[in-house]
Order: sequence, then C-alpha cells, then structure tokens
Amino acid sequence: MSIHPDTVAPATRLPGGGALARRLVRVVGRDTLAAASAVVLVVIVLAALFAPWIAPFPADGTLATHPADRLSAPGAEHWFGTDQVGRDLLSRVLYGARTSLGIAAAVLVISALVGVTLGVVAGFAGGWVRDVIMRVTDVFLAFPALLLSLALASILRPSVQTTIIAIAATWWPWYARLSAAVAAGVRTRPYVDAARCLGVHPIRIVGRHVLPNSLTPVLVQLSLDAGGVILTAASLSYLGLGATEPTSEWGLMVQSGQSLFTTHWWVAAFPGLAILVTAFCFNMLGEGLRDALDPRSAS
Amino acid sequence: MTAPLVSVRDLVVRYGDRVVSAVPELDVRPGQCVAVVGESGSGKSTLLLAVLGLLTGTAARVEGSVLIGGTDILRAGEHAARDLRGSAISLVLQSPQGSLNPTMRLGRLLDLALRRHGIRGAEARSRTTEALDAVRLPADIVRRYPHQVSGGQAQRFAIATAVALGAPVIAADEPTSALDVTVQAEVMGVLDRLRREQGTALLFVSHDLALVSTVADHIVVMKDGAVLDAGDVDHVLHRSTVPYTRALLDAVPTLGGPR
Amino acid sequence: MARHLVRRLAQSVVVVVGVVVVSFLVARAVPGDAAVSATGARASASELAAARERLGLDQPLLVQLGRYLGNLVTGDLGTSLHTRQPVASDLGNALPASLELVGAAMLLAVLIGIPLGVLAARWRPGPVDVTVRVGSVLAVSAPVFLLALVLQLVFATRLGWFPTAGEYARSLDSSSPLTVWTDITAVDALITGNWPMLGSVLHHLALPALALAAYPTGVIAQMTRAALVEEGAQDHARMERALGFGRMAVLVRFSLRAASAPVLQLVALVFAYALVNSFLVESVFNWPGLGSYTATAISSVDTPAIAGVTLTVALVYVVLNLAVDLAQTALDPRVRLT
Repeated sequence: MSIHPDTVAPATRLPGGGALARRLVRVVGRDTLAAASAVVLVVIVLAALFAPWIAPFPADGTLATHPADRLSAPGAEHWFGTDQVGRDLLSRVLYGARTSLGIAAAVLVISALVGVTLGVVAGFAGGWVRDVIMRVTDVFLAFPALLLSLALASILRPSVQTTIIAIAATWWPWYARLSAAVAAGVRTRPYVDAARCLGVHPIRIVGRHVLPNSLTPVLVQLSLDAGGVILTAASLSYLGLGATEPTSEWGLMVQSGQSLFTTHWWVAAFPGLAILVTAFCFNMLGEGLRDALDPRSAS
Repeated sequence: MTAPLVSVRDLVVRYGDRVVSAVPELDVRPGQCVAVVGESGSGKSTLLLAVLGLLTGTAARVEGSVLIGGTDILRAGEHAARDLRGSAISLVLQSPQGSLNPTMRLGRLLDLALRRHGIRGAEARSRTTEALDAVRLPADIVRRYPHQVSGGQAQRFAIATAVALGAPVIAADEPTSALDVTVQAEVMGVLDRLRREQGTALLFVSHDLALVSTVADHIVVMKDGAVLDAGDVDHVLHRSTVPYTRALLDAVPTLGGPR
Repeated sequence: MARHLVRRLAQSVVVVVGVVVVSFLVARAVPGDAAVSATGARASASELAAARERLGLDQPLLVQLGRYLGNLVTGDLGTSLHTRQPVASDLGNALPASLELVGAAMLLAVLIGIPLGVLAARWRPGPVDVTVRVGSVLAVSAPVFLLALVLQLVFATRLGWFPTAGEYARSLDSSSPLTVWTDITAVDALITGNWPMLGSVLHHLALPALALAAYPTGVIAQMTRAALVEEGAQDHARMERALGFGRMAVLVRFSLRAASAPVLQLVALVFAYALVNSFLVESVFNWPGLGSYTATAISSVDTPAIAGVTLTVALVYVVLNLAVDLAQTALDPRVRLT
C-alpha cells in the first residue's frame, strides 16, 4: 500500500518555530522598506524598555513639573522643547512609547488568545457551534473598532486599563474570523481526515495541524494590527477616554498641546509624530510580511 | 515560396542570467501549421509571448528579431506593436473561460476589439456575423457572459475574435488541453477548416505530440529553453535521430513504431 | 439570485439585532445610576424612584430590552440626559453635517485613491509604485487629529487660504438663507442653486474633508492596486493585451471593472470608519456634526445619546454593506448565479 501524498502532513509548506523565524528574517530582508521599519521598531521598543535610563529627565515622564521652564522651544537642553508645566517633551515621548506599546501588546495578546481560541473552536467544530460564534463575531465586526471602544470606554472610568479592555473587546473578532477560516480549511485536508480515521484525538489534531497553520496569518495580522491599535488608543485618550494625566500618553499629549498649536507647535507635534512613525513602521512591516508570505504574491 | 507571416530569427529570452527560450529560426507561412512541442518549462509559451511582443517592458530581456508581416514587433515601438497584435497575429490561450473578461458580455469584448482596430458600425456587425458563423457559434452568444458558455464555445469564440479582426495567423497556447476529447476535436476541426478555407496560419504550442502530429506541417521540439529538433512533420515523426524526439515519440504508443 | 438576496438579508437582520442588544447594554451600563444623572444629585428619594419608574429601570433587564426594542421600532432612541431632547431628533440634527463631511471625504478618497492605485499597478515595480505604497501607508498611519491640526495651522491660520472653523459663513444666513430639503447644507445649496452658500460650504469643507480623506485614500489606493495586480495576472488580461490594447487600457477598461468588487466593499467598510474618525476632525474644525454631539455626550456620561450614536453608525455600516453587496450583484455577473 502506498501513502497518498495528501495524507501526509506537509512539513515544509508552513514552517513553525525556528524555521518560521528564519523565513521571516529572510523575506523581510528582501524588502528594504519593511526591513528599515523593523529596525526602527526595534529602536522604539528598546527606547520604551529603557526609557527610565535614556530619558534626559526621567521624572518628567510622570509627576515632576518645572513651571519656570514652561513652553521652552526645542533646543540643546530640551530637544523636543517643554510643555505647559515645563516637562521635557523628549522624556515624555519616550515614556509615552512605554504606554502605547504596552497597550498595543496587551490588546493584541488578549485579542489573539480569545479570537484564535473561538475561531479554532468554530472552524473545527463546524455546525451550530460555528454558526453561533460567527454570528456573534459578525455583530462585533459591524462596529468600527474606534466606535465600540469609544462607547465602552465612555461608560467606564478613563484609564490605561479601560483602553485595553475597550479595544480588546472590539479587536478579537478579526482573529476569530481569521483562524476560523484557517481551521475550516485545514479540517477538510486529507491528512486531517487520515489522522481522524487513525483515532487521533481532536485536541491533538488542533495542536499538530490547526495551530501551526494559523501561526503565519496570525503573525502577519498582529503586525498589521499593532499600528491600528496604537492609533485607536491614541484617539481614545485624545478624546479624554483613555490614559489620564500625569501618564505620558501620545494621544493625550497631542490633545493637551492642541490649543497651543498655533503658538507652541512642538507640544502637540512631537507626540503626534511619534504616533505616526510607530504606526507607519508597524503597517509597513505588516505589509511586507503579508506580501512575502502570501503564496499568491510569491512571484 | 510565399513570404512568411511570422519570421523569428535568433530569438533569446532571458530572465536575469537564465535563458528561458532560445529559437534560432522559425517561420510561419500562410496556411501553414507550425507546432512547437515540449514539456512545461521548455520555453514554448514564452516563445509565444515574445512573438506577440508581450515581453517588452517586463523583467524579461529579449534579443533577436520577430517579423510580423514584415515589421519587427520587438523594435516597432509600443504603438505599432499594439496595432499588429490582434490584427496581424491573434492569441488563443489554454483556459477557456479564464481568457475572457468575466465582467463583460462576449459581444462587448468583440466590439471593443474591433473598434480598437478601427472597425465599427455595419462593418463590425457583418464581420461579427461572419466570424461567429465561421466557428459555428450561434449569433446570440454575444449576449452571454464567459461563465454562461461552455469551454469549447469559449475557445471557439476566442478564435472568432481572430477571424473578425482578420488576423492571418493565430498563435495558440495549448488551446485544447483543458477540454474534453470530443470538444477538443471540435475546436481542432474549426482551426483546420479556417486553414483550408481562409488560409489562416497556425502557430500551435502543445505538449501533446499525438495531437500535433495530426495537424502540423512543421514541428519544433523544445526542451529547457532550447530547440532540440525541427523539421517538417514527416521528418520529425519518422526520420529524426534526436534522442529526445525519439523518447517523446516512444511515449505515444501509436507513433514511431514498436517500442 | 433570490436565494442569495434572502440569505444576505437574513444575515443582516441577525447582525442588526445583535447591534441593538449591544447598544442597549451600552445605554444601561451606567456607572452609578442613570436615574441620578437624569434627576440631578440633589433629588429626593421619591423623585429618584419616580425617575426610575419613568425610565423603566425598576423592570428586569429583559423587559427593559423588550421595551428598548419596541421603542426603537417607533424611532424612539430615548431621551438625552444632557440636552433633555429625544436622542433621535438630536441625531437628526447632527447626522447631516457629519454625512456632508464624510461624503466629501469619501468622494475625495475615491477620486484620488483609485487613480493612484491604477498608476501604481501600471508602473510596477518602480519608483511610482513605491511612492504610492509609502504614501498610502503614511496616510493610513497618520493620526487624523494631528493631520487636522497641521492642515488648520498651515492653510487656515498661517496662509489664510481657508477658514479655520465652522460649516459656512454665518452672515449668509441673512444674505442668502438656505431652503432646507435634505438638511445636508451642501446638497441643499446645490439643488436650490444657492451659489454663495455652496461656495462657502465647500470653502469650509476643504480642510476637514482633506484631513478625513487621508485614511480612506490610503486604503482605497492599496486595495485598488492589489486587486488590479491580481486581475492583471489572469489570462484575460493577457488576452486583452493580445487584442491590441495597451497596458493602461487593459487596466482601466477591463481589469478595473473586475476589480471593482473588492474596492466597493472596502469603500463601504471605510465609510463607517471615516464616520467615526470624523468625530476627531470635527472637534478641531468645530464642525457641527455627530462628533461634537458625541464629545458632549461623553463628557456628560449621556448614555442614551452614546448608545444612539453607536447604534446609528453601526446601522449605517450594516446598511451600506448590504447595499454594496447588492450593487456587486448588479456589477459582477458571476455573483448573480450563486
């Protein structure tokens, strides 16, 4: 008896673990823009991690005020200038990176965990289970992310935690839909049928075949979404629904510098640019990954 | 001997350093059927694209000359090349419905193509009627969308566009390999009749030596981008000494004698 | 085709019901007590109880949901705790200005984004494609409130080419008053031939619409490019080239039609996003739309108003999606049979 090629799980088609990491490095290396974005992101992440050590005025990241230094223009001492209460804006932008990246990481981890779990269950179970999960997903997808986050955040007390909860509550359906599609696709593959006939437990099938296959699309989606989450979080705090003073948060900083924009542009401009650059790099990297990993655009 | 409609000389197509198709010499004369045979990756489809001048402006580098009705399509400039495409040489592709725009009624496509070559009004209508008649398609097929016609009908319609545009040569890339055997015969029959009745020449690309041997006057055998064997059908089928040609023939049970 | 229609309608109804339930939960999930917000902190116990009864807060949640649904059917979205007006009429006042702004932005986005996508697809790979790609990712990544601030600073405050805020010059209310038909000022000015008013509205619209258009322009350009590249790889594109059409003609006259389905779908999706993003632009340009209304509702914890806005925008999205789906059925003959 010969083994039909389709009944053998493809080991090379969708790499996992180390092979995936190597492949990501290779494909990103070919795309100059994506590679440059990845480098900038590494710098931003390092800056966020080491903000207390590299910020020129670490205390300004939170509570300190220096009324005597208020609203000084960008210069040798304060590269980004100072705000209305004399805090060093470079320090605050660096601390803001901690807030924004922290929010993005928390939202994406929660969304991916909840979404992939529900999606895999839906895609693999099929039948009414899938119908119920997917209809609920559809309902949540009918709200633009910022809208539902806004509604949720407005009935909770404004804070970083509120932002995370509000955005995660609107973001998981994308992961549910994505992994449901992958799971449903894998379910009908001959090698999964074969595994089933051999009496392999469904949970093992999910672990061996469904999750590894979901890994690549979920990773691409995470990178593409990080920019969106950062923008949404900034928008919430810009509207006064997210982080509150004295937390350094970019959207909040733009909001508080807005009325001074015509006379003291730097107060709003630098945190605004920080949002732009970070979101841009995540989007560019995500696009590069998507194009490189999408078999249709391989040529 | 009449002047060739298509005349290829020293054609070399490269992607980077790799030669994907090299054809030193190939002529197609009126009423002739020239077949290019080879497995996938042999460079035969690339040859067709080069002959239509469709590789200019892509990543491919093309050298040599391709005379279409006396004009070198590789050097004529984009506008002159466009005028030649369709009216001096026409293309039929492998996937029947896939090669027709899915959002357009067939008649609309044909009408746009005729207008592109300056044919409109009563002239366009009469050409349409004649062309559909020549390929034995009902006149009302112009109101259908590609997904509403069969594979054989789609291929015959593609041939009809060539007829309507008055193309003296049809370049066909595996035009029948996606079709059932009976439909295949029907499409080949249409091409054969055009050749006999209107003198339409055929540059026919296929992997199927058995099919080719029934229609071709001249056969070119390609492998890995190079021409290994060429000659009239009798020579290639019965007197070729090229081992690859012999191997191809041996794979077809009814040709080339006992194994 | 009929089956396809029925299935899509049924799906939309399920989504609408879900959206209503979510917005009900938003409306009821008040920190503290809606009755307190409704009566004021100094209300007596009996006043509070009366308010609770009036608002139906003493009923079980499911009964409240039923009542909420029943009221919705008659167009009753509850009463704003802040303006004391029916939320539906508040929204009726605010929505037209928002639709005007978002409509203008989407028009810009389609008119700029699709040609950019076509150009990128035509000159690919190369500097044009890279420029469009980087430009559209930039447009998608820019915080809309920052864009609004920068545009306002440069083109209104510094250069003085455009007004800094408002929907039209208030002096026109007396010199050429508007006859109201649709409540959308620009449209009314156009259909009644009120040219001074139309000019003023367009002048005021330019900057906020441009700021708001950035995101949709970026995504539409990217999607157009991707869809055209995909269509261009199909055999029919090769066939059209072989019939004598140039690359640009194949893209514009043949591929764009086939690529319109995903692009159209995207326009509907992005419209709802732009509607929410307009909240952020309105606050900068003092545009009298939904955003300004929402901002007030948020700061006064006006939950019925917030729920009303949420419900309205989500409904706009669902309806648009359905409309696009039907339009696609008309555009793409392949869908008709499935």
